[in-house]
Amino acid sequence: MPTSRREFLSFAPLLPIGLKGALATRPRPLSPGRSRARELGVRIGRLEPAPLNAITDVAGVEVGQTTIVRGSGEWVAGEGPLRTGVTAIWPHRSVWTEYLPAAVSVPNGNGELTGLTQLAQLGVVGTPICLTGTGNVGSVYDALCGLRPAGEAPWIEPVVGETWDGDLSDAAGAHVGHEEVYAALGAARSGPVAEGAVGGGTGMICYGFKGGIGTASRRLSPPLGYTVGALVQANHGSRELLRIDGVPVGEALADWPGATPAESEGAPNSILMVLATDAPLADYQLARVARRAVHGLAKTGSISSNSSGDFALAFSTARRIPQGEFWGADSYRLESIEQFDINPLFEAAAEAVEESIVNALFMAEGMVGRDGVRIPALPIGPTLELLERQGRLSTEPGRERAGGRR
Amino acid sequence: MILHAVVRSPYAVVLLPAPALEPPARRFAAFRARHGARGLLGQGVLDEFGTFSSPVFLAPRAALGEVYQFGLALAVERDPEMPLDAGWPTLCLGLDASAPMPGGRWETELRAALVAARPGSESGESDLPLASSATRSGDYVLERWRSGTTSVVATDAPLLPRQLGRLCDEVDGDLVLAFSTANRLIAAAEAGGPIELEVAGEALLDSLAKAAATL
Repeated sequence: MPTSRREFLSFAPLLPIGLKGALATRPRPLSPGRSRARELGVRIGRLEPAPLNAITDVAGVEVGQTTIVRGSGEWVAGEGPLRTGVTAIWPHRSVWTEYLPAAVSVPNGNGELTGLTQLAQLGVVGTPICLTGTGNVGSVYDALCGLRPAGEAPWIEPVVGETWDGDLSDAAGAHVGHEEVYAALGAARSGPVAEGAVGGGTGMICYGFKGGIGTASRRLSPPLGYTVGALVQANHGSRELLRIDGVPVGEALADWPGATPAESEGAPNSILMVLATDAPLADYQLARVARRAVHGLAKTGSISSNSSGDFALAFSTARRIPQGEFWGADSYRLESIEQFDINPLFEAAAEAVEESIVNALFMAEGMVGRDGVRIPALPIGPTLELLERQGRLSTEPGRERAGGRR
Repeated sequence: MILHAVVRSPYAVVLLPAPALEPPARRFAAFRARHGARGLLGQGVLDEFGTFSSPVFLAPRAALGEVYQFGLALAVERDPEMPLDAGWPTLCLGLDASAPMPGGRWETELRAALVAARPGSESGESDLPLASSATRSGDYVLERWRSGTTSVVATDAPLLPRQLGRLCDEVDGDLVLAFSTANRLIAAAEAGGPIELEVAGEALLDSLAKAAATL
């Protein structure tokens, strides 16, 4: 058995996961009975996805998740029921010692993203990125601090983002701690990413429907050929604002039954958007890419409401900066594309974020949480019918709509 | 002096990081505005791109508009499309100073002076108050031009916009612009693909920031 945290991480994928009832979610392409939007003929944007249509299409990026669904009935603060978890993203496995250029954009700051000021100051990410429920921020932060390899390099603050899952889950008990974070990091893979009510997205609500984790990607045509991947933890938006591929689905489904009224009409919450790319970009350029995430978000109907914590983080895997070089060298070299090549990356980022949000909705199953609060899944049949009426649905999934791409 | 030249006129002092009509290229810059500072034109591009390609004009606030237009005319001369790497937008900083309003053939005269400026030269005359100072940090130079609460810091150290912002943080004043002459950004078509940037390590940045505080 492993005797250290680092060993634990290397063994964790092989362990039966039974940590306090948590489930380290292995990658799986589908929720039972649910399909990703593109598989049902929904074609967001005009660029093509990379093979997995996931953030893991960017080489080196791995995602692992721990999902906690435990208990039911009356809420007992600090105990349960629990509908929470953590989604862990490795920008690459050696990120602790080989940093990546990174930047953050904050369309609306009513939330928490730890490490934000340092990331802005240094222009790099140097830890895994964890997305979780609000009540777990401190314990996930501590867990990542505990994982930091020993050494003399200055301290890089962990990046932990949150959205509020307290409508469905107890958010007072710091239920995601060291073991759950280690399990998610250890289970991380570069393949398909589980979506919907999993990991940090377990207890999330998006446009009045069950939300959570969604992912998508875009690959640019040659000669650029770069890949942009997005992963979101979607917990935002009022139902009536929801648009899918431009169609005001939320208006048409405003009275869709199944929700506990108070929760379906509650204050819109937040979204975390992570963008990865293999394009050679410096931090000031990644800031520009991160700022385009909000365009994809807005296309789904969000207005970044007053109560929303909307954060976008972008990093580039093109150049790893050894920590010794970063801190100690007079200077180091960084490849960078020029301004004329950056527009396709903006488009890819916006499309990938938009489709990630739609995927979160398509893949999330309905959920009953604390105090019997019930949040329905996005009804797929009626949604597809609305899209079809507007000519926004490919009749043959995987092929273009009549009339070609926009 | 790490600048190409400094040109003084009755209506503006112009800092030239490079020849006034140089081929298209951009350089990194950042700014800080405090206490409701006003009089920075060209701010949008600095914010979004972290770069500039115009000479840096320091002019009394009352003359900023005319000086800005002069910069635009210079940009049109470089490239009628006014791309970001050929002088658009004009980078102007307003000074708390009184000066005669531009008149006569000032544009023609200033253009001639800018084009004629020799490397390392300071030329022309102006009543605009402007003090300069310089220091070294290791292999690199930091220079500061100050007029009242407005300052410009130039360095030949290879700093990205984020790092130049940190230099601004160390310099007192309400409006501070910092730029680096180290990385010359040219269009990808000319560069033949991604370009290679030189980026200062954090230890160097720390020493530069300390040096900037002494300027």
